[in-house]
Amino acid sequence: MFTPRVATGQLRLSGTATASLFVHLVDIGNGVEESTGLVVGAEGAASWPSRLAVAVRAAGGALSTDATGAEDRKVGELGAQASFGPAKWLVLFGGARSRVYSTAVARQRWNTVELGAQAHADFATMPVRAVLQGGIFPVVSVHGLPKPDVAFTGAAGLEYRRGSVTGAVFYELERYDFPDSGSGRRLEQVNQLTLRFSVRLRPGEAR
Amino acid sequence: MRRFAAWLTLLVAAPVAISAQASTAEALHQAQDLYERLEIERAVPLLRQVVSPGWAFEVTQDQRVQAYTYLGASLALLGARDSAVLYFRSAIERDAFTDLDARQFTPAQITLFQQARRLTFAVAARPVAPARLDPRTERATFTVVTTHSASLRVTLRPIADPNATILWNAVNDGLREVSWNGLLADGHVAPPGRYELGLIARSALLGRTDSARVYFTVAHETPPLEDTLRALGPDDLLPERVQPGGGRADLVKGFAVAAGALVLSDAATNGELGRSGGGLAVAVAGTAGIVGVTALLSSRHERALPANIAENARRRAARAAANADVARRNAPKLAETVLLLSPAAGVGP
Repeated sequence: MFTPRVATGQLRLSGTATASLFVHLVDIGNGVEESTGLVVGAEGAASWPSRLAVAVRAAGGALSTDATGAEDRKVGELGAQASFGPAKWLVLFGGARSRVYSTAVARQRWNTVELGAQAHADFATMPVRAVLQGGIFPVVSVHGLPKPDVAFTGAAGLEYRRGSVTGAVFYELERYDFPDSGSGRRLEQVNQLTLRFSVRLRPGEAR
Repeated sequence: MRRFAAWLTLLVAAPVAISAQASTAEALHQAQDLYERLEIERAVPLLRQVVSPGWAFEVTQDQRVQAYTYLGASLALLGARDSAVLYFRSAIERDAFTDLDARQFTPAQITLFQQARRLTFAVAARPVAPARLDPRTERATFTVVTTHSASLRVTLRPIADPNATILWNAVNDGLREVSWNGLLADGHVAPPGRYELGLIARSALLGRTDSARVYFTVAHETPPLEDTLRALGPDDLLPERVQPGGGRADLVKGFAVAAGALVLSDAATNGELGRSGGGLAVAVAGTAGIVGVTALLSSRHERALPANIAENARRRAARAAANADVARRNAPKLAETVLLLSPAAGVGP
């Protein structure tokens, strides 16, 4: 998940490392298949005084499953996002992402476009920010699958800022409900517990 | 009725028919023609009419000066030296820039005119002409005059600033062009605004003092500058002290995050896939709840927030550094500033 920042100062560059406990749930009509694993990633972001920000990220990891007949898989993704903060507490963002699930014998690519909004509020008593985020996937392109009926994302979490370092913990959800294509409905869901550590690479005002 | 009487007087007394005259300009033109044809006796009454209080038409300052000048010149030719000097003085008093062209007037006339100048003391400056001035290479010129030898001081100052820049401070006789490099006394380029060119002179012959002022505006023509960062407002800074009410608000924020995580993991998930991710949400919700309660408990007493103070200091320092960078980048552009001078009516619009 991206956590856009609003800059009120000069151009600001930041680098972020992420680690997510990734829970992938799939039901293609034969019962729920659950895969879990650790996904790590890196993100680079630039923000301008106009409250415009852009970010790119890459992440990857291995997922294991105990489901009968299912294989362990790897997941990797690349994404880019642009955001704009029309208000101090609000950031609107849009982005594109390509995620690949691969096993020894198969490979499935998910190309998505995401539009969403993030609301945040700083704590008055400590350098903590509360963050709530929601978005939709107007474009979900998966080889061999129809367009999902339901595709959205949401996140809730906290950021803790200390000098030029920001730590964050988020719960994130992605949900995709595909229509019945004759062989049953395909339901997919990703739950993540993500820890993020961001470092401001170039001084600037961040809110 | 009085106006009619004045008209009647003019019509009866005028040796030259002026019924066809439509304006002062035509009368002056006619008088000048008469003067140049040496019909002085006819020109003088016409010119006297123009400067008389009973003249029915509007007379501009320039026209009145012209009339007095030709009256003086005409009377000089007629040998009425004292009257000639008197009319020349009237012209000079109204416009200190009045002068006789040596190619058009006789030495005797010019001698009398110079005498009039010595007897009359006035100082004046021409209105500032619109000009474009590059302070690095160019000079603006102001034209000033004293009617005869005098100690002259020419100063320039912004209307709102009592400190003046001295452009000339010496003896002067007659016309003088005073140049200005676009800088004020402190060496800085004159900022945009309204300016006063002030003249004060003391006659070396008569011991009298006269002064004059003209106004002009200065505008800057500068390459587009990079904006500095706005001042940090309350929304840009973190609270530096804990307020008792702040803890309750933070508790709400923490619970909002906790509720958001739990709602996402429950209501927003697909029930057919089970609740396997719920534990992740509970972890975040628990963290947010603990942080919120901690915030509430820590805010029971007002106290300083060192972390926020340090963060605010960092933001202020970052802003100051950014503005210093902006100022450094703008400096070369500011050095290219060109001044646009234009005449103004007075101290304000």
